[in-house]
Amino acid sequence: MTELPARWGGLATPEGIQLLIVHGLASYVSDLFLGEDMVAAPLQDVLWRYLHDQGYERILFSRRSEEVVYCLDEESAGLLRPPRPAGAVRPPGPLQGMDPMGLRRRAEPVRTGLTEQGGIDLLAAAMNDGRARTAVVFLEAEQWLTHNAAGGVFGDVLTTWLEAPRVAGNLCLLVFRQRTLDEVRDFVHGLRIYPALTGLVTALQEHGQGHRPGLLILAAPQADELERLVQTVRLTRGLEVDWPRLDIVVRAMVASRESLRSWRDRLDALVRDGVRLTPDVLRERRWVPVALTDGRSAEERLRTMVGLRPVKEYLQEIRHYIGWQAGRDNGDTHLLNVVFTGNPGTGKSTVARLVGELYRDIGALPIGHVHEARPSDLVGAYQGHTRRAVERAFEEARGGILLIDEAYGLSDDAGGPGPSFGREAITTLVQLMDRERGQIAVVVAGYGAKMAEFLRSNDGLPRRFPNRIDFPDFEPDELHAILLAALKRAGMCWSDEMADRLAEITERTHATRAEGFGNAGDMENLAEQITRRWSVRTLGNAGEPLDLEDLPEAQRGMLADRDLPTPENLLAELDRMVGLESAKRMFRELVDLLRLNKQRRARGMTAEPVVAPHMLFVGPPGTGKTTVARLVGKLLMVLGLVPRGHVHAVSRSDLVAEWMGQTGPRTREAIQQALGGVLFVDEAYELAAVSRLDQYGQEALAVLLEEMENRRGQFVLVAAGYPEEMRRFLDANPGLASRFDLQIDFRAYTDQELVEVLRRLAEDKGYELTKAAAVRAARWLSLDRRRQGRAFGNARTARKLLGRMTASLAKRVPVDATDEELRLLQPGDVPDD
Amino acid sequence: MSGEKTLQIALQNWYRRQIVEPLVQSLDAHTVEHLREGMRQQLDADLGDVRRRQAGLEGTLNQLSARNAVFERETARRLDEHVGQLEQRLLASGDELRTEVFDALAGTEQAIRGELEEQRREHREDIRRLEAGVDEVQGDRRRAAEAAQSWLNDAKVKHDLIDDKLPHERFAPGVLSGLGRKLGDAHHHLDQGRPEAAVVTAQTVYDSLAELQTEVTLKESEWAALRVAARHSLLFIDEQVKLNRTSLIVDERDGEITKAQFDVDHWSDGAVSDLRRDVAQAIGVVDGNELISIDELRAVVREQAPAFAARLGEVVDTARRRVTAAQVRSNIAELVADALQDGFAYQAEQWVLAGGDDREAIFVRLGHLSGNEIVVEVAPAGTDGTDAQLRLRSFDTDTGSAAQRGTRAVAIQRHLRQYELPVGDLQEGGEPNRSDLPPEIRGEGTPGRSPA
Repeated sequence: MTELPARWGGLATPEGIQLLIVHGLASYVSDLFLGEDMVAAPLQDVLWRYLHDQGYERILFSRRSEEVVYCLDEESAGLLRPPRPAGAVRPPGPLQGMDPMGLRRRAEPVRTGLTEQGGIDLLAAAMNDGRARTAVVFLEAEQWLTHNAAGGVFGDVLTTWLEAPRVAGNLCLLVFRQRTLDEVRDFVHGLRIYPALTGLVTALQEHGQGHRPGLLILAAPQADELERLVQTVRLTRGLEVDWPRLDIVVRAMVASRESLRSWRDRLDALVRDGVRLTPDVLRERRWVPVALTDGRSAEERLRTMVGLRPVKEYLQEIRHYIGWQAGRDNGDTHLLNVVFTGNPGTGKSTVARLVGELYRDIGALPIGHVHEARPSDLVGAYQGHTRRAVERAFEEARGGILLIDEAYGLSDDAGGPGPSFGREAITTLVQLMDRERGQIAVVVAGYGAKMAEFLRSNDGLPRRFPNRIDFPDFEPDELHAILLAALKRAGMCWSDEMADRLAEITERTHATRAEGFGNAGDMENLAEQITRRWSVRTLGNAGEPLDLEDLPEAQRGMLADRDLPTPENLLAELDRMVGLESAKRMFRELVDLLRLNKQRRARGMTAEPVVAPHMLFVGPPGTGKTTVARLVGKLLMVLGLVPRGHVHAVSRSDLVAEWMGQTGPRTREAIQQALGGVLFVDEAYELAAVSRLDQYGQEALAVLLEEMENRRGQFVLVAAGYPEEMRRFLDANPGLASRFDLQIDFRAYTDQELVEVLRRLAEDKGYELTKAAAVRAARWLSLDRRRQGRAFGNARTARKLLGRMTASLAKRVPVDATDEELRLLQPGDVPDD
Repeated sequence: MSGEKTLQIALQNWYRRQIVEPLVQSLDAHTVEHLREGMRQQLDADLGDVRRRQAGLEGTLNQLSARNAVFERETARRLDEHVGQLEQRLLASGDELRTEVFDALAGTEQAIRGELEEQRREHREDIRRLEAGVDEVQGDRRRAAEAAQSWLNDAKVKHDLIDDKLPHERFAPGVLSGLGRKLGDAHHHLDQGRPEAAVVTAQTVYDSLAELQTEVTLKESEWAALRVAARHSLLFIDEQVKLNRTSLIVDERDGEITKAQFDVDHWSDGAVSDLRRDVAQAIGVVDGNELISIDELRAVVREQAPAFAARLGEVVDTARRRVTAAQVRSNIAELVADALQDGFAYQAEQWVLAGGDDREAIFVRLGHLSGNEIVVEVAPAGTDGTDAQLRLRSFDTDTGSAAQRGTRAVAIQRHLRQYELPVGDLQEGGEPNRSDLPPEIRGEGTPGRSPA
C-alpha cells in the first residue's frame, strides 16, 4: 500500500460511495505529488496507485480535450472490449488484401482513437459492468459537464450512475479545477442540467468541515512533500541546504502555497545559480510572502518604519503576551484579532503583513500570510451567497490573517430594515471567527468613527476584537520624509531649496487634509507624478536635479510664489466686476479671517482652522456665476484652502446616467475631476426637479452630499441656479442647505449696469459706444428683458447684442473708412427688434 | 431513428477513372511461334496442293502449239510466284492476322489479275499480227484449215486439262461446260468448211479457257490462304482465352507493386468457358467444312475472330471490376469495423461471406462491452454489382438511444468520406431483423459480453 502525501488528507477507502469529487486550484490539480517513494508523479498516476491499492481492476481515465478514454495499465486496457474469438479473422478478400483504392494510403489524416460518443458509451458500459471492479476518472470534469453537444449523453450517463446504478462497487471520480467546494457547487448548479450532482455536492457542503467521504481537496503541498522535494533535489542535483534552518525554510515554503512543480523549478534554479537554500534566499527571491523585500526580519523592518509608534508598542506588548499565553491550554485566541483605525496610506496593510509574520514567527499562526478582502468581496448578490463569500475568504486566509479593509462598509449596509447581506456577512464573520479560532486572525480596518459604528453593529464584535490600534495620520515632517524617500527610490536628486519647497507642500497638504486623507499613498503618488514630469522635461537625463517645473500644477499652486496673484489682486479683480456686492463682501471677510489666523498663529495663539466653503450661487443666468466661480477657485488656491483651484463645471446630464447603477460612479468621477478645486454644478436644482420618481437625480444628489462631507477641504462644491428654483430645491431636500457654508446672490443687472457691461465688452474688443448708441442699447436691452422674462440672459444678452452691433458695423463701413468709422458703434448698429 | 442504416457507395465512377493497362494478357513469344509454325505447315499443305497442280500442268505444255506454249509457261510462272507471295505475306503477318494483311493480299490478287490480263491481251495482239498474213492468202483454205485444227487442238488440250485437274466447278461453276459447247461450235465450223470461222471461235474459246484457268487457280489459292488465316486467327483467340482464364491485378503505387491472381471464369460467372466453347465451335466449322466459301472464311477473319477478341476483353474487364469491387467491399468492411473498434470500442467477432461466396456480401459482427451488437454488411450494388451498399444493423441490449445509433452511423459515414470514398446520404431502414443475416451469424446476441 502506497502512503499518500499529507495534503491528500488521509483519503479513506471509498467504500459505499459511487462518486468521489476531487477539486483544487488548477495549479494543484496539474501539480506533481511526491510520495514516500520519492517519485514525483502527476495526479493521474497517484490516483491510479490509490485506486489500484483499493482493489480496482479496471481503472479508466478520461480527458475530453485529449483522449476520451485511456488506461495506464495493460490489465485495464484488456478489460475494455469483449475478447476477440479465435476464429474472428478478417478474410483477406479475393485479391489477398490488396488495396486497389489506396484507402490505407489515404488513412494518414484520419484520426483514430475513440470518438466522444464511443468513449462515453464505453465508460458507461464499464461503469455498469459488475464483472470487473471499475473506477472511471474524469480528469477534466468541467469540460465534460459544460460540453453542450455531448452534455446530454454524458449527463444521462452520470445521472443514471448517480440515481440508479446497475452495479455496486464501481466508482466515478470527477476532478474539478475549482479552488473551493462552493465553486464546484456553483459551477455544477450553474449548468442547470445536473440536479443529482448538484444535490450531491450540496450535501458535501452541508456536511461541514472535517472528514467527508466522497471528497478530496487538492491543496498546496505540505511539509512532508516539500521536505522530500528538498531532499530529492539535494540528492539528485546537489542542492546546498541550510540544515539548521531547514525547518524554517520548509515552513516558509508551505506558507507560500505554491505548487510542488513550481518549487521544483525554483530549487532547480538555486542549483543552477549555485545558491544555498536559506530563509533569506526565499525572501530575496520573493518566493515567500513578505511585507517588504529587503531581506530583513519582520521585527527589524517594523523598527525602521517611519512613524507608527502606537503600532510598534502594541506589537511589542502582544508579542510577549502571546508568547506567555501560548504556554497555556486555554489561550484566548481572540487576542490575535485587531481593529486598525486610521486613514488610508497609514500603513495598515503593511503592518497587517508584518503582524502575520510575527504571529507566524512566534507560532501563533501556522502560515501567517495575509488575505485581503473588501466588504464587496464578502457580500453576495443573492440569498446564501454572502455566507459562502465569507467562508471563501476564511478558506483563503486559513493559517494567516484575514484583513478586511474599510470593514464599516458591512455595517453601513446593515442599519436599514429588511434583509441585509452586510448584516449576514457580519453574523457569519462572528460565527466563523469562533469556529476557526487558532487557525486565523482577523484584522478589520477603517476610519476611526466608522469603525466604532462597525463594532457596535453586532454585539458579538467588540468581544472578538479586544485590540485596537490607531494609525495616526503622518505628520508633515513624516510625509516629507516619505515623499523624499519615494523620490530617492525613483533615482531623483534635488537641491536643499527644492527640499524646502517640498516641505512646504507637505505641510500645506497636511493642513488641508480631510478624513480619508491618503497619507503615505498620496506621497507615493505625488513622487510618481513628479518623477514622470521630471523625465518628460529632462528626457530621463539622470543627474538632472528636480525643479519646480516638475511639480504638478496643484502642488505648484500651494507654493506662495510671486508668480501667483495675491489675494489682494484677486479681490481687486472681483471688485472690478459690475454688481456682485455680496460676493465681494464675503470673500473680503474670508481673506481677513485667514490673515487674522495667520497673525494669531505667529504669536502662538490658537486659530480656528478654516476649511474651503461649499457655496450656493443664486441668480439668474448671465449674472457672472461661472466667472466668479473661476475667480473664487483661484482665490481659494492662493489662500491655501484648496491645492489646485481649477473649476470643473458640470450639469445634470454630466452627473446622471441613463442606466441603473451608473449615476453613482459618474458623479464620483466628476468629483474626482474637481478634487483640489471647484465642482461647479450649474442649474443644480435640476437634480431634484425632474420628478419625485427620478431616482437617478436623487442618487447623484446623495453622492454629492456624502462626498461634500467626506471630502471637505479637498474640493469645493458650488451649486448654481435661478433663485426661485434653488430655494425650492433647498426646501425639498432637508439637510442640504446646512451643507453649504456660503450663499452668494447674483441679482439681475439693471439696464444701466448692462449698458456698462456692454461698454466694457466693446472696449475689450477695441470698439467704442457712442452716447446715442448707449441710449438706444439700454432701450433695446430693457425691451429684451421684458420680452424674455425669466430667461433674460443679462450679461450674456449684452454679449450677444455686441455681436450683432459689430456685424452691423461691418456691413455698413465703406472701403476707405477712417479709423474712427471702424471703431465707433452708432445707434443704427443697435438692432430694431 | 431506426436500428438499421444504409449508405450507398458509388464506385463505378472510380472504376471509370482508372487507367487500366491492357486487360487481356498477350500470348508469349513461344506460343506465338508455335502457332506460326502450325500455320506454316498448314500453308505448306494447303497452298502446296495448288502449287503441285500448277507443276503438274507443266507436262501438258508440249501438247500445245508453240505459240501458246510460251504464253502458258509465262502465265504458270506468274501464278506460282503469286502463291509464293501469298504464303510469305501470311507468314510474315505477325502475331495476329489483321484486316490490313488481308487488304494487302487482296491488293496482290488484284495486281496479278491485272498483269495476267495484260499478258493475255499482248498474246492476242501477237496472234492477230501473225494471222494478218493468213488474211493475205485468203482463199488458201488448206492453210486455214490447218490453223483451225491447231487452235482447236490447243483449246481441247486446255479444256481437258482444266476439266481434269482444276476445281473449276467449285470456283467457276458452269463456265467450262459453256466453253466446251463453244469448242464444239468451232469443230462444227471446220467440219462445215468454214475454217476461218473455226479459227476465230477456237481462238476465243482458248482465250476464255486461259482466263478460266487463271481465275480458278487464283480463287483456289485465295481460299486456301483464307482458310489457313481463319484457322490461325481462331486458334490464336483460343490460346488467348486459355491464357486469360486467370488474370492478374497489378497495383503499382508509390513504387510498390503488389500482384494478385484471380479466376476470370469465376468472376465472370463462366463467361470464359462460354467463349472457349464458341471459339472451338468456330474452329470446327473452318476445319470440318471443305466447301466453306471464301466469303465465309473472310467473315471469320474479318469479323468473327475480332469479335471473339473483343468479347474476351469484355469478360476479363468485367471479371476484373467485379473482383476489385469484392476486394474493395472487404476493405470497406474492414474500415467500418476498424472505425467501430477504434471509435466506439467494439470488437470484431465474426467475419462471414454470404453463402461462402466472395462474390456476395460480406458481413462483420461486432460486440461491445455493454452487450450491444452491430452487424456490418457490405453488399454488391448497382447494375453490374460493382457499387457497394453498406448496412449497419444495431442490436442493442442496453438502452442505447436512437440518437446514439444515429451519431454512430454519421461517424462511420464521415470516417468513410475521410477516405474519399463516394459515400451517399444516410438512409434509415426499419428495425433490423436477424433473419436477414446469413445463418452463421444469426445466433442471438448474448447479453453482456465478458470482458477479455
